[in-house]
Amino acid sequence: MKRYFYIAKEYIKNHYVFHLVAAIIICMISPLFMGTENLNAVMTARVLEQYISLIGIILFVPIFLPDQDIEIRNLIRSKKEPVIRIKIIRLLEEVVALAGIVTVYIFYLIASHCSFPVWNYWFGTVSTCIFLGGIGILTYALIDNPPIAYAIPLLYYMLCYGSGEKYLGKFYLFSMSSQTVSDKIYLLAIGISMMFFGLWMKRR
Amino acid sequence: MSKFIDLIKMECKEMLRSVTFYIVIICIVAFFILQYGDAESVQKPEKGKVTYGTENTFDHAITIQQSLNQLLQNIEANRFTTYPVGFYKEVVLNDMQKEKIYRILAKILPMNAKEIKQYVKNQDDNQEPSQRKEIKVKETVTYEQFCSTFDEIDHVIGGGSDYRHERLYSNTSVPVTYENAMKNYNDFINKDHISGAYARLYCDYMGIVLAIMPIFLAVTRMLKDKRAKAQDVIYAKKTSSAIIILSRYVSILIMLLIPVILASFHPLFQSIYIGKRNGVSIDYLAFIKLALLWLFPTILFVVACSFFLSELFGGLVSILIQTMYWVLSIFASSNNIVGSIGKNLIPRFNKVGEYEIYARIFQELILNRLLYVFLSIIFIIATILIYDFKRKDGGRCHEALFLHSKRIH
Repeated sequence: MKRYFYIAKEYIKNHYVFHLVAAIIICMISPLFMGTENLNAVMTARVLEQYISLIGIILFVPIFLPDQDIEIRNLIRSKKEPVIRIKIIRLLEEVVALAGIVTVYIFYLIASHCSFPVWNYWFGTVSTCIFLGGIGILTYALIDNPPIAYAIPLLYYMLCYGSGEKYLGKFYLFSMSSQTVSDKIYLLAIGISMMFFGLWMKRR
Repeated sequence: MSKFIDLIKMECKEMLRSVTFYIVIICIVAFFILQYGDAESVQKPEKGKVTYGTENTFDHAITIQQSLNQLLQNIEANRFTTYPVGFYKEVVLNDMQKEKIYRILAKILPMNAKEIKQYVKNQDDNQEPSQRKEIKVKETVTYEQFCSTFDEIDHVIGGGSDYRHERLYSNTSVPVTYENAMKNYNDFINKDHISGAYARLYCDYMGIVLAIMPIFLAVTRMLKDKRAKAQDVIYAKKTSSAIIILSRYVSILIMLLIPVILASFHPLFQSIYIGKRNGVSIDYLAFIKLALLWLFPTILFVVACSFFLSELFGGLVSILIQTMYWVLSIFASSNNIVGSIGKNLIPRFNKVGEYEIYARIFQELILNRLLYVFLSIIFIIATILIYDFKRKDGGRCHEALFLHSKRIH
């Protein structure tokens, strides 16, 4: 257990802190660009889906970044601890970070007199983030190129603008803005599947 | 010079062997095709039709009445679109701010603040907008007084709303007459030569995707040496830093023009087909000309900015900062997607036709594009200077300052 804690601590300290800070800053500067006060349910959904959901890409894609160098990868492989276990620990840290940031942001919206179904929106936002993060993790596992791992989920996000709803159906990212939270379950399920498939591909 | 050209050729060949390049091309073309779909054409208006659409007007009487109606509707819905720092922001007012607006409105309306509040409240119960009874401003109120009153209201909303005097015309909407609809059609045929109108829509969509996708190509290129651990070898070469950076820059620009040209074939063929149907010869070079004017500065800026940020902070920071800038640029023009320029990296013109609007914003578009060309030059010079500094053993100092020594980003 102590060893797992050490692995988690090292990941945050040496690699993840920058991404964590970036995600927090993105949330903190949101009132500069978007109205975050006295919002109704539709407007709150727009803030959460179109802006906050982007932190999913920032928080999940870095999972393989510490092992980019082949020498480091070989060193990790030579250790007793299975590689997959290290990556699952990192993933859990990322999920906790996401849940924490979204929760705090939701509290901020409540304090700003926004009225919306709290639990539904928390679930919807986390699911959207996990879906985008899942695309990033899977892309990274397939191509092993960090910039492209960021590019593909962003492309998906871009496609949701304009005619996205017509083509993407249940996998449309901004469904909460049209008051359909139930579709988020599909995003969550596919997002988790993509994450685990990505981890499985990079298990060694 | 020959060394520079050789390096460009080498960089282009390298890019052709890179998976990233093909992924970026597929992303650009796929986004364009999915979003562009089958753009509608400008039809010749038939005389005697009930409606030919709507347009804005600068008529003072209409501006006053429709801006007032719009404001009262916004208060009722409690939703205001603003651009306080040039970026889109939706504002919801609290009761105190609403009261303040009622008091300001009372100066120009034949009602006191309480009556205006009651009027807005009653509108809420009345669902049909067409059945609403219009309030008119006092007859003694001049257009200048109306503008200054609405400037005060804009201040209460937080600034940057459509109620500031220079944006009041955007609240207006009048029916297009047959003559104006015919003029729009004639402009489409005679001034745009059909392809010009489609070229604007093409640049609109391509501008969105080209403001983000080149980042990944540029960052991948800047990280390549680091990942291959070839930095020290390249640093030791005799070739100047300017030639190294510029050859990379130029090669990415050349290679990015490939998807730009490829994607233009789809709307070009559409224009040829419409031209033949109307018996008009189209401008075959319209797409290339507009792409160079509209899209090339976007590519120049995005790649130069990526080079600069990657060289200074590392690739991931560049992706983060530029993605945020892209998101905010998209939000900034989300309220007006036909003829929205300003200082935005992504100028918008999401409509076929409307030559008159294009003629009106053309100068603004040129200034906008020149601004981004100028910024690109600044960024690329700064990149060369940083690269040169790192080469001359300043790298250690730079790494200690900006990059984590253990990371390979």
